[in-house]
Amino acid sequence: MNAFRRTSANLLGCIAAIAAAGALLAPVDASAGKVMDGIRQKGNLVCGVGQAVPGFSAPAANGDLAGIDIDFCKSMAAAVLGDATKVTYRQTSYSDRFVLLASGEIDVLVHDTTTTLNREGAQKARFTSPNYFDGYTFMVAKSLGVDSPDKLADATVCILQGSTFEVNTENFFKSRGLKYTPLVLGTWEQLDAAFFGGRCDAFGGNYGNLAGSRAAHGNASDYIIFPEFITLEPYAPAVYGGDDELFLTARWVMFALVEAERLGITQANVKEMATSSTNPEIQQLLGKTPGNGKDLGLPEDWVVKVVSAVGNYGESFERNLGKSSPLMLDRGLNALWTKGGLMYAAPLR
Amino acid sequence: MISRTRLHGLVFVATATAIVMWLSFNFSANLAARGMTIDFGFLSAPTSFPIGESLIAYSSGDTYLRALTAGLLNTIHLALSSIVLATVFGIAVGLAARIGHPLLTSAAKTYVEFTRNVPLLLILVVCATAVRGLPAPRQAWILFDGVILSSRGLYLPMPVFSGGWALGIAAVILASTTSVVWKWSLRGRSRLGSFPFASRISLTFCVAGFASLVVWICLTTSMDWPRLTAFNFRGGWSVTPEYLAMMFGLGFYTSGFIAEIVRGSLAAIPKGQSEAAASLGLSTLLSLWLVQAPQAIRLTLPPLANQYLNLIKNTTLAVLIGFPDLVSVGNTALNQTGRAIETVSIYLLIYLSLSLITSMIIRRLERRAQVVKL
Repeated sequence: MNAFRRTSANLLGCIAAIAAAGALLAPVDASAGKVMDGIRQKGNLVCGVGQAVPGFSAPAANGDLAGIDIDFCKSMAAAVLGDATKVTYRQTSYSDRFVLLASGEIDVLVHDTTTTLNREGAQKARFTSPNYFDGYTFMVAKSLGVDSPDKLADATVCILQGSTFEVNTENFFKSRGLKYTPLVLGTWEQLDAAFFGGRCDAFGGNYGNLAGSRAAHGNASDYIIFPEFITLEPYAPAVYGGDDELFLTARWVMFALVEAERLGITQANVKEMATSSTNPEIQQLLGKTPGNGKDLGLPEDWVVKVVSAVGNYGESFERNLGKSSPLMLDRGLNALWTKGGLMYAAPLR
Repeated sequence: MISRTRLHGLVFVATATAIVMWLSFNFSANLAARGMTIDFGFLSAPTSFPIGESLIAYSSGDTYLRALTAGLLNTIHLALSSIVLATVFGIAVGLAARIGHPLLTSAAKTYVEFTRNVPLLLILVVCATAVRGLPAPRQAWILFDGVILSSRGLYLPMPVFSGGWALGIAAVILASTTSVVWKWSLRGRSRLGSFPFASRISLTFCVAGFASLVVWICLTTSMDWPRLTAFNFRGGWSVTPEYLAMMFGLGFYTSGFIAEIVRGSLAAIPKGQSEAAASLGLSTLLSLWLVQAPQAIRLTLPPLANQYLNLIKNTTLAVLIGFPDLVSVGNTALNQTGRAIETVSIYLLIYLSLSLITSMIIRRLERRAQVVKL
């Protein structure tokens, strides 16, 4: 009798455990092309963003996340849902971000992410045009007396895992026949601690990210970031392949932000421009001349909502990365094409 | 007539099969819906990333399989050294708690309570911060000639054998002939009561062989001294701060649990045993060593296996402080290829195998330690 009781107890235990596991692995509705419907249905956009990446996605003084990537999330919510606050931010690590995008945990990935062929071809991410052009370089302490990345032979280099940085660093040192020791860590916070704690001689990263770390650290004048870019790193928002509607929205929201800057539409004047501007380009962009909204399946005033929420691209840049931010970055490559930069918008018509 | 137990068994197997089939169906349906496939082909593709430290030669351009192997060897290396450290400290503290000296007992108790009650992650972060806080290479501490401690790790002079392969082969041949000859000579001795002439000759031959091997090693060996370059030390034998932090952190944390296991097993030996030992005039130490410990080993092994398994699994925390273990290297591979499911299933398979091998070894030891029934 005892044996029987024990067997049935074991049996019940096993079944309970398997049922619990089953609940976790239950089927999810993941049919392709439905991401946009899902966003509309729940009235909320899940945005995958960085963990404490100053200038891109980091908590501001008031505790809310701020940065140029956060602004893009708000723009998307403003365009699709008419309300920039309807965003759930999901702070993800560099290693997890594409897995979360592929599994549908996040709708849009805006995570200082470089567009690469493998990420589009093999990992099915679909990138819009870049929201920030960056370049890979190194930061070192001034006290080391190194004035060029070519003099970093035998250095220990702090590198972020899950980014393009590991490959950039390897290619750089290998092509010059120099030896180095990598220290690979998963988050900016860990890298910051290791580099500023003296564990590494050089900190490999994109200029914008390095400038963010240096600004957050305080005594910025003790460190130099080499101005030579080793690679071009175009950061762009991404969605998962298979939902054209969402992809087109993301792509044209990015263009709209840039076009608004070129046309002089700002957060302050957008409402007034929408009603009183006589410029046909502005009238079409802001929906006074209808058509753009219908083509994308959005309300005609979508650009008004976007610019009211975050301003134009230039305003967003200055607030998060430019002269009115701790990072103090120049526009550089990120200036409009009319001002010698790479930022352009395809015609919004 | 089918028995009730068997009926339950059948129901269980049927239910389990159905659930597994349902799950795998969902799994493949969900994969198909997201347009994802499973493909381990990336393992033979060339990598394009570096690994900080490796026991086998690895550089970017080698295959992903080799990169993961390098990571796995780092994991095993770290696990083994941490297990040794944890066991030595654990046994020492466990014994100290049983000796009966009040100072030792309370010191051991404090040690156990501290290590067991501080989260492992915290211990590891503290260890990592501590080793990183060592002076920069240019201000390194030179402990002895050639023994250097800095924030880049511990550097020691390393002997380099230029004899190479020939030396290794010669040593293996010599060792195997010696063991054969030794057995042979012992057999001869038990039969004749003295070394037979033939074994005496071969023994002389072996001793001469060893002597010449030692001379050869000394002649062909040079020392590789660590030397300071622009940033770091180069050459010599080095241990990285991350490895040191992981080894001490894991060893320290696990030793608390092992100490408690050792103390508990000793306490479980009937009092009569130590009283009998005392009445024979054995000192506390001798009684521990000769009477209690051999009996306690049987009780120690099963929970000890658990601690070893935990320690092996805890090595995955290395990813947080930058030691390139299997998971750290695998995460990079995952990111370069986007092969998440494949990489994670490789983790599962490897940690399962490591755990099974460990428990198998411990079970063998248990069998050897069992009481022989007469």
